[in-house]
Amino acid sequence: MKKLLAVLACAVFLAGCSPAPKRYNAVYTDVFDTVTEFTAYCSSQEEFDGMSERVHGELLRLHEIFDIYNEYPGIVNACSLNGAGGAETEVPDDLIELINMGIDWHKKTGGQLNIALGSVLSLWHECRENGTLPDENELLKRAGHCDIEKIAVTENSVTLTDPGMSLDFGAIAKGYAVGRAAEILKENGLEDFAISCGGNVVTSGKKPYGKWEIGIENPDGGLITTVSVSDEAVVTSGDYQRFVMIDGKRYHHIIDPKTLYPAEKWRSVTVICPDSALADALSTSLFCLDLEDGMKLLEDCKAEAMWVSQDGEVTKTPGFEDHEK
Amino acid sequence: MRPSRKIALSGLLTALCFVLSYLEFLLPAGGFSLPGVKLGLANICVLFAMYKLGPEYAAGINSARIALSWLFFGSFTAMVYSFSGAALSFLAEYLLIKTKKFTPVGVSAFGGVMHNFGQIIAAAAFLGPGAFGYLPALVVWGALAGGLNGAILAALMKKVRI
Amino acid sequence: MSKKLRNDLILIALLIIPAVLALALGALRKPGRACQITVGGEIFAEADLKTDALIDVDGLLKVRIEDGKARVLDPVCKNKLCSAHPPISASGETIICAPGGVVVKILGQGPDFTQ
Repeated sequence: MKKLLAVLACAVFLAGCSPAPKRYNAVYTDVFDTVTEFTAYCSSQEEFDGMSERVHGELLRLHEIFDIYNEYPGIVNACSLNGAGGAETEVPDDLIELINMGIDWHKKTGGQLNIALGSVLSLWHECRENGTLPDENELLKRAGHCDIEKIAVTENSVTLTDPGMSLDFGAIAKGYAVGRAAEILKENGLEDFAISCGGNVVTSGKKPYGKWEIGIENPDGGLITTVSVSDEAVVTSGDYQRFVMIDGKRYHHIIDPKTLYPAEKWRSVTVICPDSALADALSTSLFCLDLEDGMKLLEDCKAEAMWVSQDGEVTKTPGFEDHEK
Repeated sequence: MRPSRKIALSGLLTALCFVLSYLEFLLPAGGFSLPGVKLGLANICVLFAMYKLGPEYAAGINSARIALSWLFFGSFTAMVYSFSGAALSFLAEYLLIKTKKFTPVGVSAFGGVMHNFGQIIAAAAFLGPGAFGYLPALVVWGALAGGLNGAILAALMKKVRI
Repeated sequence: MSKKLRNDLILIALLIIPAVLALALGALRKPGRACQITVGGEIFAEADLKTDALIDVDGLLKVRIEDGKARVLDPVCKNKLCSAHPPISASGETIICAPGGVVVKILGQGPDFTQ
């Protein structure tokens, strides 16, 4: 009897020592031109703050490296590369990795994902800011500087052999970045967390009473569905995320490399995949591909997807449905 | 007991009831924001009347007490809450007494629960279903406070000769 | 123990046990996403718990959202029970100002993120 009491006392004492993890939240607004949310279950505010610093730090670091609009003292980044006028430029490893990934995906998607589309994209960016449509001739001219073969990559340098070319990583940078941030957190022992960077969500572990829940917006308002994920990334590309109305027509930010105009095949595509960078690449690619070609692409990766057509029709892979409640 | 004596006693009990509920109102309430988390001391009088004078007198005392509170403190909604709780608990206590299977402790405990339940129903009518969130806490409190009141009542009934 | 008293205790147990269970389950509640404020049963406002805010509810009281919790400030009512209530944050929790007719309720789990 005494022994039992002693054991119970110890159990109570120990239980009191390890408090149940609580949910903490942090928001960053200074990376990738969007709102980033970091949510994690930690045993203390201090632990969370430490993790949050790591996440923010990594996202900031990669944001600066992949930034094509600004240069930063002390580092050579995408903006520097684009402005190098064709000279061989030594760049950070992450940029090399991202570029190689972009080249790889260009092949896989038959050209539908093109990181060399920068000159066309910057024209569209300008036009969206001014609310005007781009000049057709200018578009075509710039399209001539989007040949991905004109990127020469070595172990630590990149050369844009076409000086009129510029790179734009909008299709894959966020996915890559949150994926790296997640890796760092896991290396530091954090198990249950999620990072959402403007529509790129990466999750690890789960919440005390279930998996992470990601709501997918209906382009016309409300939610189409909610998916439950654990250790997976969810990325949605949609025509409702960044767009501008010109003469009553919507012009969104995902430009089809073939037409040089905003892709019109789908209203939104959602991809679920264990790899965050992959999920990002897939969602942008699938947004510009037919259903069949998209499905083929998915087969090779371990990914699931949902497409919403222009008339609101929803198509899902069976694996995607498994994630829905 | 002669009717005139009963009536006199009712008057006394009504006044006592009224004073007790005013006293409770003065006590600080911690943590709950729904009226009804009180000790329910006034209920001791009403239940006492039910045992010694009969249900009609108890009902009369209860109604008079509520009307007085309304007159003196002026809140219509508070009156409705009170009435709702009182009506439900009155019915519950009456039925329980009739079964003759419970002591005042159980009767008062059940009455306390039903009183709070009645108040929540009134709250829901005014404020929407959010009021039901308080149900578990008020059930526990109602039962405990009611049980305590019942014990006090049982002790009193042994000592007081009326 | 008399038979009647035993009945009493059984009755009280039957009443209290489910209620205590409900309260215990409530303590395990999931954190809420948003705070819904109704006046007289009709929705007055809804606010995300993640964004700090101070909401004036029709002059009846104020709702302060801070650190993912909601609490009531400056109520016009006499008993001030609502402002004495500790801040709420779990889905289903409520603070009610009965005289003012205001219910502040934490809405249950929506998705963690929306895209």
